Amino acid sequence: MARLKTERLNLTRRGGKSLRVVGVRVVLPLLAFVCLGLLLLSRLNHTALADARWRLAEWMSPVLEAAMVPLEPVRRLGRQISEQVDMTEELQRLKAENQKLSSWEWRARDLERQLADLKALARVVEEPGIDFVTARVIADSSGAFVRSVMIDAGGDKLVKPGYPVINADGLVGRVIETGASSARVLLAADLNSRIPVVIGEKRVRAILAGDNGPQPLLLYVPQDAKIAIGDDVATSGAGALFPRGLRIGKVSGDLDKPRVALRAQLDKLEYLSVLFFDDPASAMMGEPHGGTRETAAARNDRSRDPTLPRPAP
Amino acid sequence: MHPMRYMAAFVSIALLALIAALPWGLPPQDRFFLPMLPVIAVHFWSLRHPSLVPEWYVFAVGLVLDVLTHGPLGYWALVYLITHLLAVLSAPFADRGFTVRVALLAAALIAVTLTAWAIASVYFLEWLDVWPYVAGSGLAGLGALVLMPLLYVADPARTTRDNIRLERGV
Repeated sequence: MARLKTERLNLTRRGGKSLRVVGVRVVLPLLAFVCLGLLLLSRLNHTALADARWRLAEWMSPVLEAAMVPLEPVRRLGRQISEQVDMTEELQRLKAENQKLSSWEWRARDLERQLADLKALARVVEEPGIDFVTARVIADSSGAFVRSVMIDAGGDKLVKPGYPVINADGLVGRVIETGASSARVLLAADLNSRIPVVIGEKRVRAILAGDNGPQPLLLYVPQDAKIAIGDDVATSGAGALFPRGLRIGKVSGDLDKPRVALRAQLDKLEYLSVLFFDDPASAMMGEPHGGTRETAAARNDRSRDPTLPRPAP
Repeated sequence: MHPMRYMAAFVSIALLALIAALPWGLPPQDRFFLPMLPVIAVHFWSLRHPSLVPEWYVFAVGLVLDVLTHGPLGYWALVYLITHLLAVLSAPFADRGFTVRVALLAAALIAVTLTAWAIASVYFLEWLDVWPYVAGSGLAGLGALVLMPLLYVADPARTTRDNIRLERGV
């Protein structure tokens, strides 16, 4: 006897009470319920969930790194096309900028000499240099909910949460989570990002607050402060979250609700440098998160040289 | 069922989810179409062969994408499950020709886009701008024109269109 067997009939025929139909209708609402539960826990920012999430992301990072290999030529091609399109405009801009910079160079050298003389007179304590490590962006999670990227350097390179992250253009954000070999960087445009800044020559203090848009807002600008469109914005160093003087961008938009056009193109990040900047206060108190800048540098040397002793985890 | 049949569905959905997490250098407002690409694959396979795409797999892929994109856990998992549900419910109409299948995908994309926007709005407790979602969905629709023929080629059952076969016995 022959029997006509159709996959779709198996799925939809009600007379036979197909198990598959029952399966779909039982499992699917259950999983949907789990999703809603997870959404609620995410909204509440549950710590256990964040930990589990980071473990899974860490486990997936080798896959992302491998996937970046074929992606690299595609990105390079896109960048080349984009550069070719902008070439003429860019050339004009660079010519104008070069002329302006030539006059500034002489002035800068003169000021540098004066500053060195004044420092010598006042016996100013030299600021120690900040060590850093450079890593590649392996995942981008810029969507409706968050603006962050994942980099391929983590605890193995002594990257810690809180460290500032820059690229050649300026400040990009800060590290918020670290795994063994990867870390997540919260971008300056993210809703949860708050950075103390100074604006313009008057060094007006404010807070740069992300809103998930392309240009973060400037909050708490004093009422009588005189700022103008195009004024430079840099980190103030207040709160010891970021070192003083990291370039961020320029004031843009409406002065009633000023925003900052970031120097770094957050949607085209490839390589980022993590600064080993510890809060000087906590470093002085000898807190585990802190540590002096010298020790950060030493730890970095240890990471480069496997023969040197490593601190206990 | 031959394992290769599962492979095509599993690999294509996972690959598109991985592509959605990679840094393509796109502005954030233009990235929404990337997570919509697995929607096309989930709909394609669930519509043609619902048995090839288990719910747990759709859920797992969505969850992994949530982890990799650092979004709220369960968001894309829920969106992909809704896509799967829509496809399975419309499966009886799938054998009415190419035009009907494209119309079903378009309807599913619209429904899924509005659902994704609504869930995100509820999550933030404010009405979000719907246009990035609409634009992303439109781009994903254009992407479907490229993606669907590729998925069709990857479908091992394409030669037996309705999967009808005669069996001896029982």
